[in-house]
Amino acid sequence: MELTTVKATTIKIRTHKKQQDRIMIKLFIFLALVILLLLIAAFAAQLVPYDPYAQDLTIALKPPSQAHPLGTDRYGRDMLSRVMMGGQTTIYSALLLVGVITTFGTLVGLFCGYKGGKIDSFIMRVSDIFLAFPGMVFAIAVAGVLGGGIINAVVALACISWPKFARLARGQVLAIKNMPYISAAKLSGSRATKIVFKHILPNITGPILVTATLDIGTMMMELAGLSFLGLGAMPPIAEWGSMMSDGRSMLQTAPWVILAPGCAIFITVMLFNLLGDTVRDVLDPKTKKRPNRRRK
Amino acid sequence: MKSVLEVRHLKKAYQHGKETVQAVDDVSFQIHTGECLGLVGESGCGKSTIAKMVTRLESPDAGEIFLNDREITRVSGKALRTVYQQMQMVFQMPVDSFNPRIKLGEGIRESLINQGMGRREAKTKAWEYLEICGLDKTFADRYPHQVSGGECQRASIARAIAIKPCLVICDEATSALDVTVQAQIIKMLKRLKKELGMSYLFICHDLALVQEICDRVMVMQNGTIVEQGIPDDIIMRPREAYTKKLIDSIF
Ligand SMILES: Nc1ncnc2c1ncn2[C@@H]1O[C@H](COP(=O)(O)OP(=O)(O)OP(=O)(O)O)[C@@H](O)[C@H]1O
Ligand SMILES: [Mg+2]
Repeated sequence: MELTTVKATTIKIRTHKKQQDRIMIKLFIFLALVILLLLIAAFAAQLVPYDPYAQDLTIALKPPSQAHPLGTDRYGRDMLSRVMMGGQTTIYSALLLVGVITTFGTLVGLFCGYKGGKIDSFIMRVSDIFLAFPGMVFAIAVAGVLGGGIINAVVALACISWPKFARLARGQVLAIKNMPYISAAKLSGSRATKIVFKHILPNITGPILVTATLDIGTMMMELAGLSFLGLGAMPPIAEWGSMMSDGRSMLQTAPWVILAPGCAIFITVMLFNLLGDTVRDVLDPKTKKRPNRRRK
Repeated sequence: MKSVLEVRHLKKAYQHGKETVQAVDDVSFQIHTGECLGLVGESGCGKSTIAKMVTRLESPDAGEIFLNDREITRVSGKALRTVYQQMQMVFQMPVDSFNPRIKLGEGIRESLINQGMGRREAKTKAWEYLEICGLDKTFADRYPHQVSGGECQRASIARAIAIKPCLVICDEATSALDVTVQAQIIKMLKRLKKELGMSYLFICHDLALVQEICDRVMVMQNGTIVEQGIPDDIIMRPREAYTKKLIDSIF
């Protein structure tokens, strides 16, 4: 009887290890794909086959062909080049946005969680107000006030998105603030800033990193959404959202004009979400076991 | 005799939903220079709460705390950091008292560095104190989850005595150690007491150990001190019924 138990445990341990190996492989694949995407976007200017802004009305609205794999738009600009250039704007704006809200939100959350008291309640009420607004509507209003431009769209979305990270970080801080090792750090005469950044922050980066990675896709869609509405990137700058907006009247006559940036958004967002999911599996093994995990 | 620590009418209540638990109720005592004061009592009687209030990790509801004749009941910021140069604590749960992401050695060095010691000097100092507590240098490069409970407890003692405070609060500091290591630690604590005039508040379950190291002992029940005196007297001739029960249950 004991032997069977031992055997069962061994098998369990082995499958667990296999599972872990699989997750690591998945992580590396998705990471490699995302890095590839980032590199393509970063060096788009060097990689593009045609000038994405050069107009040539003689070849306007040509369907995909050998010379133009994704066709041309109504000004005769090469869609492939524009999608690659647009990737630069969309992906890096989304990364900038997520970077800004993660940093700012985490700092606010750390401060509130550690400090507590009246300031904490006040800032949390403010963040409640932000969370109570329907996000996109508020972003449209802010972007409308600030005027067009991709940076203004980033600012608008940052305004409404930081409270999520502030809440997350604050909750995490509260969970570990009363651990004996924080008391020990106080007893060793460390200042509050040192305790927060050396003892608390490294212990809460996991969940924050996971949320941030999962948020990249969402933010990309919202940025593209603002651009689609004409509140983000201004033409002629190539951006996936505004490119889709450009092509929406030609969905029946020239579907490639809208499909090319649409698929680009779809693939990129999915890739970032898959990466986020895998990062969560790696960093937070507790949620891994649940059989019917809901994918975000 | 000069007193290192004096506590007057300390009180602390905790809220558990609707009911209040008076964890510490009007406790006063003194610790003289170079004295080891024992504190015994059943689980949940408020020993750790006293330790936390004395170290200012919890604020008392009422009462005063004096360290070397200076009131520290309400100090904060820089003044509190200087208090921690004179007072250290060994935590009841040694593994939790080390940051899981920081190596033991760095945890020990932290207070030395905060006092302005150079990195290299602090490193050798940490090794030295680990060795005093019976751990070799290699433990400095281990994470808390890579050592046993007893080893972690010794590292935590090393951390507390490394800055040579005048008062060390030991909250069940030797509970996870086997008898031989315990004897070694007790010997070291006694030596530090004699050489540096260190004083201890020694919270403990083991009456034999109290008899061995403490000059005076207080018996605590439900947040109050019911009896105090010389350990031999208390153990041989307990006056309170509660103390008798406590002694009977152990021997
Ligand atoms: N942070 C807290 N919140 C609420 N109640 C607490 C808290 N800390 C301690 N208590 C309560 O206060 C009482 C005294 O706790 P304390 O930790 O001082 O006991 P103790 O004497 O150290 O016990 P032990 O020997 O088990 O360590 C207990 O009833 C406990 O439940
Ligand atoms: Mg205790």
